[in-house]
Amino acid sequence: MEKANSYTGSVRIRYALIFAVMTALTLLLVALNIVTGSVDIPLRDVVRLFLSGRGTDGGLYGTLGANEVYSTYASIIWDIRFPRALSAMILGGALSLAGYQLQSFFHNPIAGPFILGISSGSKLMVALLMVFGFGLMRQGGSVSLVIAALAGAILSMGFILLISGTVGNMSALVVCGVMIGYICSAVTDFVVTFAADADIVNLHNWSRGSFSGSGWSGVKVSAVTIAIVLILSIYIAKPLGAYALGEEYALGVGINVKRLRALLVLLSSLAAAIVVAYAGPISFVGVAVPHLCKRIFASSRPIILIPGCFLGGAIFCLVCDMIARVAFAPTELSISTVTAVFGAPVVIWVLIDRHRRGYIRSVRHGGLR
Amino acid sequence: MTEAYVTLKSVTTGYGRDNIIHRDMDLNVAKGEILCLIGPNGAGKSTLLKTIAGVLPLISGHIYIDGKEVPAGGRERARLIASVLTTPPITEYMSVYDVVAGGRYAHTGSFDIQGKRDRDIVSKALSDTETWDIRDRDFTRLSDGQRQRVMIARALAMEPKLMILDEPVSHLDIYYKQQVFDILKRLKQTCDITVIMSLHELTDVAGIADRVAALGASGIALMGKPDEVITDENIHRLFWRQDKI
Repeated sequence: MEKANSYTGSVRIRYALIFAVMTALTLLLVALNIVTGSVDIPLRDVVRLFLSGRGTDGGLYGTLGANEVYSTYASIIWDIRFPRALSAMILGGALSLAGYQLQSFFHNPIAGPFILGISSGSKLMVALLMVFGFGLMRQGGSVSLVIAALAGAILSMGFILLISGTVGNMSALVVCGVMIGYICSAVTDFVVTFAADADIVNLHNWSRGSFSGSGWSGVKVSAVTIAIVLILSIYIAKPLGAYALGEEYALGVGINVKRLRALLVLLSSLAAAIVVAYAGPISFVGVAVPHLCKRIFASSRPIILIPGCFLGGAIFCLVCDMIARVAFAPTELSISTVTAVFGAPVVIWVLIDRHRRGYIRSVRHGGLR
Repeated sequence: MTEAYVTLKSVTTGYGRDNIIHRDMDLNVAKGEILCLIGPNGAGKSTLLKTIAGVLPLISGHIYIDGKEVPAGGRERARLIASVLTTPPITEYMSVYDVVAGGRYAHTGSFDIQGKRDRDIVSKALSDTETWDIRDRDFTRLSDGQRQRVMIARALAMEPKLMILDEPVSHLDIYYKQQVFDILKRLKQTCDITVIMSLHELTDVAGIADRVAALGASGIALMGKPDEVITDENIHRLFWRQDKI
C-alpha cells in the first residue's frame, strides 16, 4: 500500500491509534515490571499495596507493617521495583530521543549516544568523580553525578564535532566515535583498577549499565530534566523537519541553522548524560529504536517522532529490563547485554534496508560552519 | 525595458570574506521576467544564485524586491524568495505531498499545522507542475524528471515573489526538459512569476529566457535579449578567452 501524505485525516487517525497503543503498552509494562521479579509477590497484594498508598503515618508501613511479610513486599515494590520501572521508562525514552536527535544532526542513520562515544565520555567523568571526588559526591549527591556526566558528554560531543568538521564522511565519523568510546572505556578501566575497594562496588555495577541503582531521588531528577528536554525538543520539531532535508533546505526556508544545531547538541548531550549518570552506559537503544519508530509510524516528521521515539525507547527498555531481571533470576543480567541482543540486529537490518531502498549515499556533512 | 522589480545593488558573492568570487555586481529583473545566467563552469553562477537564495551569506551589497530591501535571513526572506538548487533533498518516508507541503514552512505556525489555505496552495502547486497524480508516491522512488517538478512545486508552495533555479534541467532528457520549460512559461503567464535561473546548455536559452546575463571571470559581462547575447563572437570570448572579458 502506498503511503498517503502526513497531513490527511486518515493518517492522523493512524498516528493517534499508534500513540494510544504505545502509551497503553508503556503503562502495562510498568505494571508488569512491578509485578515480576525474583521475589514472587501475589498480584492481589500488589494491588492492595497500591490502593492503600504509602502514607507517612499509617498507610503501608503502619497498617500492613504489623505483618512482616507485607512490610517486606511494600519495601520491594516502593523502594526497588517501582522506581526502577519508572527510571527504565524515563531513561529509555531519553536515550532513544537522544539517538534520534543525533541521527538528525549528523544526517547519519547509525549515530547514537553510545556509538559516537558520548555515553563513554560521560562514563569516564562519572567514574573519575566516583573514585577521586567521593567527598564532593556526598555533598552534591546525585546532582554532581549529572554534572560530571554532562561535562563528559559535552567533551566527547565537542571532539566529535571537531572531527566531523574536518572529516565530513559519515562512516569515518562513526569510526571516530567508536574509537573515542574505546579510549574513554580504557581510561575508566584504568581508574577502576587502581580505585579503593569500597568505591569499586558502586562503580562496577554502574559501569556495566543497570536501572537498579536509581532510587526515588534519581527518578525525580531525571523526570524533571527529561520533561524539559522533551518539551524543548517538541519546540524545535518544526525546524528539525526542514533541516532533515539538508542544510540548504533549512537555510532556504529561513531557519537559523546554527542555533538549531546548538540546541540539538545540547539537548541530546543532556539526555544522554542523565541516562549515564543514573543507569550507566546502555548500548543500542539510541540507534535501534528511532528506526523502529520511523517504520512503525511510516513517517519522518519530528513532531510525531519525538514523542514516538520517547515512548518507543521506554517500551524497549522496560521489556529489556524485565528480561534482564527475570530471565536468569536471581542472577541479573546487565541491561546492555539485553539491549545489544535486540538492538544490534535492528541496526544491521537498517543498513541492509536502506541500501536496498537506495538511501545510502555518502552525504557530505560540512560540520559546524 | 520595463521597471526593475528585483534589484541587486553592488552585490559581492563568495564563501566568506577570504574567498570572494565576484565583487559589486548590479542586476535588474522585471516583474514576470525569466532571466537566464550563462557562463563557463566556475564562473560563479551557482554562488550568485545561492547568495540570492539566502543559502550563502551576502558578503556585501543589497537585494531589493519591489523596492524593499530583502532581509538577510529568516521567515521574511523565505516568503520572498524560493529556490531549487542542485543538492537533492534527503527524505525518508516522505511522500511527494509532504515534500511540497514543506514549502509552507515560513507561512505556518510553530507546529506546522496546515490550514485550508495552505492545503489549497499545495494542491495548486502540485497541479501546476503536473505532479498531482503522483502526490502520494514516496519521493525517493521518483524519476529525475518527476523529482525536479516536485522541487519546483515545493518552491511554488512558498508563494515567492522571486524564484531561483540552479540548472533545473541538467539531468533531464529532452522530453522532461521541455516539460519543465513549459511549466515555467505557463507559470510566468498565469502567476506573473519572476525567475532567475542558470542554464548549462546554451541551445536551451533562447526557448525560455526573456533576457540573458553572461557571467565571466569579472562579473556580469553581457546582458540582453538571448539573440543579442548568444552570438558566436560573444560565446567565443566568454568560454574560450575567459581572461579577456
